[in-house]
Amino acid sequence: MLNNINAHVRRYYLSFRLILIPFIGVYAIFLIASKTFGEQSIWTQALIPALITAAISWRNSVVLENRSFVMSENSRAKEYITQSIDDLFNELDNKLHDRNFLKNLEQYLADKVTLLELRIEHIKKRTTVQLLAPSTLMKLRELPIDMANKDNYQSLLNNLRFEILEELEKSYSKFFDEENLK
Amino acid sequence: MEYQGRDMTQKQKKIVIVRDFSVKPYGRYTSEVAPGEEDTTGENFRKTILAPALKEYAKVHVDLTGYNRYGPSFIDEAFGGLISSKEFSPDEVYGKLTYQHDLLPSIVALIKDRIDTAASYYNEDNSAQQH
Repeated sequence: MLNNINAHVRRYYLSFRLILIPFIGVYAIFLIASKTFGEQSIWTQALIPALITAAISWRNSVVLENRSFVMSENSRAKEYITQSIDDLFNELDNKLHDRNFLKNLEQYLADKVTLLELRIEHIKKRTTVQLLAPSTLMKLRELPIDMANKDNYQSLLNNLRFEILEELEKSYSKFFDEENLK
Repeated sequence: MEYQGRDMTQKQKKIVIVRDFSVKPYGRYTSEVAPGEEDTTGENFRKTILAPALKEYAKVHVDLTGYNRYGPSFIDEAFGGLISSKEFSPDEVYGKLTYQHDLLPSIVALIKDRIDTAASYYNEDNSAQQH
């Protein structure tokens, strides 16, 4: 029951915020204006409702534009990070059998994960969403080095890859839910 | 750079790695790295800068900002090595040492993890010796 109510609130929150609340506001101001200037005054009949309606329309368009900007930026960033993680694991999968590469693995991971983390921190500043936790990035910095020396490194790497991608998707879903309530 | 903290009775030391040690810290042991890079290792940082500072000062703060490509082996040797070399107890390290990296929280998480891991080995060793 509570879940049902919660889902309905989430679904209609934006309509409520952009349509119902302004409507109640306009009606309240109309009543105040009619008491102050009289029902037949031009202020009550035209000027005040027109000014308020224009202000509300402008505010609503700003809210919607900002919302869609944040959504699309975040979506693009998530796609970029997903792709980067996939590329990183594909490269590791192809190169880990090469002994020369193993010598440089630590630096390779440090370079790649640092770029990824800087991007994630940048997104966090713009949209307040933390797509991957520092503890996950820490794992990505060091676990492949431990895995590289094991016989089943491919399956271990695969598990790590999907663990990280799963966390990314969960963080994105959480952001989406929170954005719906703003 | 040395500064006095809020508690004026306790001397504090701030170490900025790129200023006080190397602009490109790299590697674990001095004996393992390529010629010319001996001064940049975690072992060298611990022995020449961090451990002496921890012995001399009540609080030591390490600022890692300025370089972003730290490898786990440098971090492990520089910070976890304080405990695994038995030079300091976990309580001393937890009580005296603080660290920061302004851009990369995962580096801070990595340092904490390395210190926690070294501390757990230290405690296991100690309890094994007592039995």
